[in-house]
Amino acid sequence: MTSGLNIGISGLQAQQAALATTAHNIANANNSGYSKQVVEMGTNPPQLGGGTYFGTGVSILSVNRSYDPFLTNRVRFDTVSFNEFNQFHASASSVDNLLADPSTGVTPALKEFFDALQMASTDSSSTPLRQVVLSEGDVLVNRFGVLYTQLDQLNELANQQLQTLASEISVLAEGIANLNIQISTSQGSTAASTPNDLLDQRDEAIRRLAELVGVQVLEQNDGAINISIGNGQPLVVGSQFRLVATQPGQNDASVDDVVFSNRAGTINSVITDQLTGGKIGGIIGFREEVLSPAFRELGRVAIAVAISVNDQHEEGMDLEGDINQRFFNDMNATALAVRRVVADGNNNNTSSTNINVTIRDVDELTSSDYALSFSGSNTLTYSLVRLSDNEIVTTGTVTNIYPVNIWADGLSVNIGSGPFASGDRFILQPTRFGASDFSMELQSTENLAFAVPVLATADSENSGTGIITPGRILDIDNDSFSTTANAMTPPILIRFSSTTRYDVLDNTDPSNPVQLAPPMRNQLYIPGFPNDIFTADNRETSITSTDASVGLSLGSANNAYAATVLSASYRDPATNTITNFPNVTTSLNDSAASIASQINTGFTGISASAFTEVTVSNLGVGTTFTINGETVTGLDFNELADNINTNTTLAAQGVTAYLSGNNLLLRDAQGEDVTLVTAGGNLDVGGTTFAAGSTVTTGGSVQIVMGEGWRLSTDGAGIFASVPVERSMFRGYQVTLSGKPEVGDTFEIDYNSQGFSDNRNLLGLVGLEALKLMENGTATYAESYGGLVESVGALTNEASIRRETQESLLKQSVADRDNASAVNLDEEAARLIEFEVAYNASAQVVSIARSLFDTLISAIS
Amino acid sequence: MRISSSQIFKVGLDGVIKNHAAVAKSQEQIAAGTRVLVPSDDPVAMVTIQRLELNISASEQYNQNIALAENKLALEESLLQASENIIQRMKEIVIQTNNATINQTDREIFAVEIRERAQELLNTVNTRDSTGEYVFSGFSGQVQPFIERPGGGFSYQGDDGQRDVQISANSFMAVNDSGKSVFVDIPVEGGTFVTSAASNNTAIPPAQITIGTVVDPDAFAVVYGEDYQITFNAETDIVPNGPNYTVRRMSDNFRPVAANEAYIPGSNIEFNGIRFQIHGNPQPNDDFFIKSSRTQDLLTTFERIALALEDDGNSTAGGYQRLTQILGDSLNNLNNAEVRNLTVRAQLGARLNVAESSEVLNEELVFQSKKVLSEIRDLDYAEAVSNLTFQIFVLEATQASFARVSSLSIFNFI
Repeated sequence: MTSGLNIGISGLQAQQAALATTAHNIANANNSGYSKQVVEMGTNPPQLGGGTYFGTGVSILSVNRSYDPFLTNRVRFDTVSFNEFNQFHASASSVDNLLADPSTGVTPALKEFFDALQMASTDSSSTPLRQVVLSEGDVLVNRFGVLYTQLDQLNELANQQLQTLASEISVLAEGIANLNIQISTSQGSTAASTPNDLLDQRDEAIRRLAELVGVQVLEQNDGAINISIGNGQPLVVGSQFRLVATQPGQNDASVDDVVFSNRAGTINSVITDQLTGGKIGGIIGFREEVLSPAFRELGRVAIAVAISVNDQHEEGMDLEGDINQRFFNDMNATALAVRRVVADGNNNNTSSTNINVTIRDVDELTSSDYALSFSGSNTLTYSLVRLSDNEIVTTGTVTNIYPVNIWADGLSVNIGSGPFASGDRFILQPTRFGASDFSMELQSTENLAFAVPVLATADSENSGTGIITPGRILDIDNDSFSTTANAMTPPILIRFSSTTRYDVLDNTDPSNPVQLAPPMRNQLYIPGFPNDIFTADNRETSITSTDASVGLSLGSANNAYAATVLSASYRDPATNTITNFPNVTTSLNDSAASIASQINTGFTGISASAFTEVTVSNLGVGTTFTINGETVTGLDFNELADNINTNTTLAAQGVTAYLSGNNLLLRDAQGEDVTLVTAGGNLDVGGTTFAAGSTVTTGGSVQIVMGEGWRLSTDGAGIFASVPVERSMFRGYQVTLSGKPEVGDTFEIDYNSQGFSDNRNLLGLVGLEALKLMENGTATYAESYGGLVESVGALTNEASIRRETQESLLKQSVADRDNASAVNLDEEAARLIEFEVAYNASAQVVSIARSLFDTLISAIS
Repeated sequence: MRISSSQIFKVGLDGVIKNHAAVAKSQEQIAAGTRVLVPSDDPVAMVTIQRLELNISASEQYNQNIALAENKLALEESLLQASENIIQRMKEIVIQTNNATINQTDREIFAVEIRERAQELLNTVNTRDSTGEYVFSGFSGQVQPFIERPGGGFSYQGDDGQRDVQISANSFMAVNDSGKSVFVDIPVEGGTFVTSAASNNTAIPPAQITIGTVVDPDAFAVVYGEDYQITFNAETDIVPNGPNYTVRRMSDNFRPVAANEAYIPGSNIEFNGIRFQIHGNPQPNDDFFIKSSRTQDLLTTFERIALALEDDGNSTAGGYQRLTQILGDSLNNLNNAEVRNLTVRAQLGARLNVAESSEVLNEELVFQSKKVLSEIRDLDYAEAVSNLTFQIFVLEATQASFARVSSLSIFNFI
């Protein structure tokens, strides 16, 4: 009889527990991470009575949670991915919005700037139009500055987010370690049941950790869970955990690193590069793939605009006649060049070394950072690595001799002083700060240099149809412009001595033009074609032998030039290899023509020309003399010259006569000797007076033009000095002559002193907009910037798509887990009724047992 | 399948949020009228959009340049028209005066008119445009192109410069012609000469040389091409002592054309068919130059006609014949100037034509680019509105079903 009572009581207890668990479930219906708990009941051991087993009721075996480790793991995994792309997308969207917005993007400002220049091209001296150019320049500079500031704020925001996330990770790690302790303890005491709510709490903590960073989870035998982040960096081991924090970056102090630290704040190791997944992975990915490239691409466009506009502007002349002024600031100023270099903290002699980076060529400039590292012992080998593709761009050696300039990828890495040690490393950031470094230098409308400082004009009295271009600048830093301010030194006169030959003369004194130094006489002109007057090679030099008159030799048919030994060498500018050529030895009395021909044959690469000019003066009336055996007579200079020029024998020899003031000039274009026999009176030849009947031979002079790398030396015996003076042929500007000039036609080239309405340089500036000046001649400014817009857009778009994919995956896995583990209130309601009914039934059992007992008692009494 | 209660709410809520976002995006697109709001909406299209916008802006800028250039060319054209009228009047005068029945008094009256016309022409060619730049001084826009020379005649102060503006992506158009090309470099019949004083002359104030005139074309033709130098000598070189000069052919100066001639200020100096005067008190070693020239500027032509008319054509033997000859040559010179004037105006017309066709082409480019831009960027409103309607319908359905589903619970029945 008591058994019935006991059974009833066991039922009551069991249903009560079931009801309590259901209540617990209902209470936690909205607790994310909670797993529905179920009471496991078991029958009590039966009692043997009279050979038969009687049941003894029910007891509670355990309370279990509905839990599937596979589903929980999937939720964790999808949480990591979703949060990474979600964060990446959120961060990238802000850059995406910034770059193409008409009010913050660079493209409209660039357009406005060049439109302002276009407007000014119609009235290049108009002050209001010039003011617009300056204002639009300000707007452009400001636009880069604003974009840089915005990007900088995003970088700052990323740093703050990393800091917050790092401390959240630390808090979660500590919580998980504590839960590990509690769980191990409780599981150790009663092996049969599990601390469900603690396990749920720990799973939820791990899930929240997975939102922040990618995690790997490893369950231990004692119930504890070990967690590592990134590439297996242990975060929680049993009851132990590590703290995560941030600190200013190694390579760039403005980009924070994520580090493991301890409570004392001591940094154990930098783990930024090891971390993937979660919000931290998203932020790090955004910084590497979007933000840093945006800084560098933007900086590259700013640097390209500044340098190329400056280069063009420097070639121009302003309203005050000044040249060589920058429009924007100097992107290679020392302060900026030094800022581009960051020394690694582990370097030996960071304080004594002096490295900076200047931009040589915006066309070759990449948007990558570089690493310069040193290795070796006495002679250090350096290597410059482009970090975007880890390509070694150049290597070389340094001894202790400085400065050393390393040229690569449009950069010049300038090492001013050492010493360096093996293992020293420097990060070079050529374009990182470009957009913030960008500023206006020009302040006044008068200083806008829209004119070209050279102007060539044809003489009004010319009888031919020769047309000369106004001229253009090849290099404004040439002596032609720097010798005297606001002037060209020397002014030039081009004078035609025949329809196919011209002299280029120094026109400093217009009443007496003289030969240039080095001379450019008797140049060949091809009628009907464009003829460039000057060399475009800024390293072309010239050597001139002693002047023709020195070759005067009295009483001889020979010029008395001594035999001489000429040596030449060539240093290849690219490889620095020196090639020595076999000597050329000229003989006694060789004519200038012959010496030039021997040089041309012996030293391929050197071009020599010869030229003979004899100045004859003090001619009497009715002069007669013999030239190279031909007797010529003339009443006056005109007639004499005419007779010489119409003499067929002399014409065949290439001898021509010109009038020059008081003098008669005899020229031999080939540089052959000219032999005169004077008759009928004294004659001045080359400034020396010779008596009647003298035989005078004049030798020519040789002019040598050499390209870059060539050297010529002699033994000094002949017409060349032993160390010949090399003079540059390059004048820094170019004019082109075409048409058919006649003898005596002249063209002047001078400083464009009053050309304030000249807009040639302005058109040069305008043209920059459409020139593909960047990325190895493949992109204009706008296209290069467009590349940035496109890549950020594509990355954001991709992140958005992946975010959506991951979101639906995460939703699905959360749904799967929740469907298996979370509470369904309808189910609980049904259970509630079920357990209530069972409870009521058990109560009835007790009641019936009591009434049975009562019946029995009353029967006794 | 078992579904947890939280899942029921989450699914409903997610649906509402997602549909809200879709409606908001559609509404934003409709409000902006564009399909591509940020680069990530369509990165490739965004780059094309930016390029097309640049093209449109550039073409519009070219047309602005053309409009400004057309103003400049129109002003130049009207100035050339005005100067041609003056040339016409000059031709009439020359024809009228080249007549034996006209007496010297009448000729002098005509000479007065010629000088007036010369002033008118001077004003015309020294016109400034609306921005204050001289139209005809080439690059030297701030320099008055023609100034009256002391000693008569005019000289050109500008340069050869011709300014271009960009009128399309690859073409430029000149917006000015230098005074030198229009009024100075005008070929003359049989050649003429140009006088000048050396810049290092020492007389104070400097002695002046007049522009002179060719009085005997035949004699001048013989020596045409020669240049002369007139050098003043020491006063002691002649008896009685006094200022005197030597004329030398520059190519041949040991046979002077005229040596140690006594100098009388303002009197005619004449040799080899040319005549001019020197005024003032030249000092010893002061130099003056005479250069042969194949061209003569229009104002000098005017001045020389006036000088010829003022010279008493009837007073000396052969004077009238000489006058007739000079007037005949001058008429040819005026014709040459007119031909030059008309040539430049023809070039102006051609430029205006090019400008016009470029303008049309630019407009066409703008139109085409805008069309493409619209295709790439602009929203298809019909599609967008129908999308929006459908999205709103879905949103409302989601909201309604959420309300219905979420209210289902057994607890309502306990």
